[in-house]
Amino acid sequence: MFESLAKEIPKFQDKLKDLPNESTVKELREVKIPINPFEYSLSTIENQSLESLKIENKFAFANKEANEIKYEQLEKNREDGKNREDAAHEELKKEYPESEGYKIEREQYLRDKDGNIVKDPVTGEARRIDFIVTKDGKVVRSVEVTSEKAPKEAQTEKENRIREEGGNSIKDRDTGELIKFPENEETEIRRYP
Amino acid sequence: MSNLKVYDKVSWHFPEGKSPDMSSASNHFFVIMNWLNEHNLLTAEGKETLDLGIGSDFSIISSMVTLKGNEILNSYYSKWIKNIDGKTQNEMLIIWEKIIANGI
Repeated sequence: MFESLAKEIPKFQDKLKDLPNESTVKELREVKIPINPFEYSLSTIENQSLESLKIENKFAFANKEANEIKYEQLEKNREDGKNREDAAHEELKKEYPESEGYKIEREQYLRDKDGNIVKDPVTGEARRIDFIVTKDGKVVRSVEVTSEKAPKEAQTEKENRIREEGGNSIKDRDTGELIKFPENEETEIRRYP
Repeated sequence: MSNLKVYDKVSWHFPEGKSPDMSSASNHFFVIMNWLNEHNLLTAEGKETLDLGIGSDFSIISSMVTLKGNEILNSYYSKWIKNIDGKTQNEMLIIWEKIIANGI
């Protein structure tokens, strides 16, 4: 056993040559390390985590605020939309009094001659018009209500395509009769604040 | 049908392409229409409308639901709509059923 260990001694001696001698150790001791490396890395991690957390919180708060604004906006849009239509309905009732034989229909789909709701070949959507005024079995006015600046081109184009596809009637909800649009009758867009 | 009541419209939430997006504006319509349908509270007009899908011209009106459906919507719809901000469709449904169960 001792013999085998003795054979290994030269190898250890070679290794010992590579180890730092006393002066090297001294030099190493004189190297200035500003902060204990372990402390440094820990402090960085802590700070990073804190910063990350702050940023995450900031983003979470911003998202929450954005969502609240988004849904507050939804609710406001709904209120505004309802108010506009109420205003338009009141105006139409004055312009087209029931006593003179006018009837105001709300939320009417454009239908074909068989009463089927016609879909737009481009968007696949149907067209439901806000207000339709009828008299003696004819449409005398078609009205869409919107805000002052809302673009309506896409909706108008959709309606035109549906009319071209044969969607030129509405169905009277009381009688079930189909009431035809005159060819020249276009939906009027009424804008409210 | 001059007394027709309009409960809600997609266009009221989504005024012609303005933000919020169409999806945010129409999510709750899927929930309420499916619930009304599952509880046999839609009229023939309601079913016909549901079959069309929820598009930008979609609306929920009194002629689309039965008498009982109208009683429910009259009592709870406004309350519900104020409590579903930012919720998923499942959460919206839970809130709706909770509101009805509690008779709030």
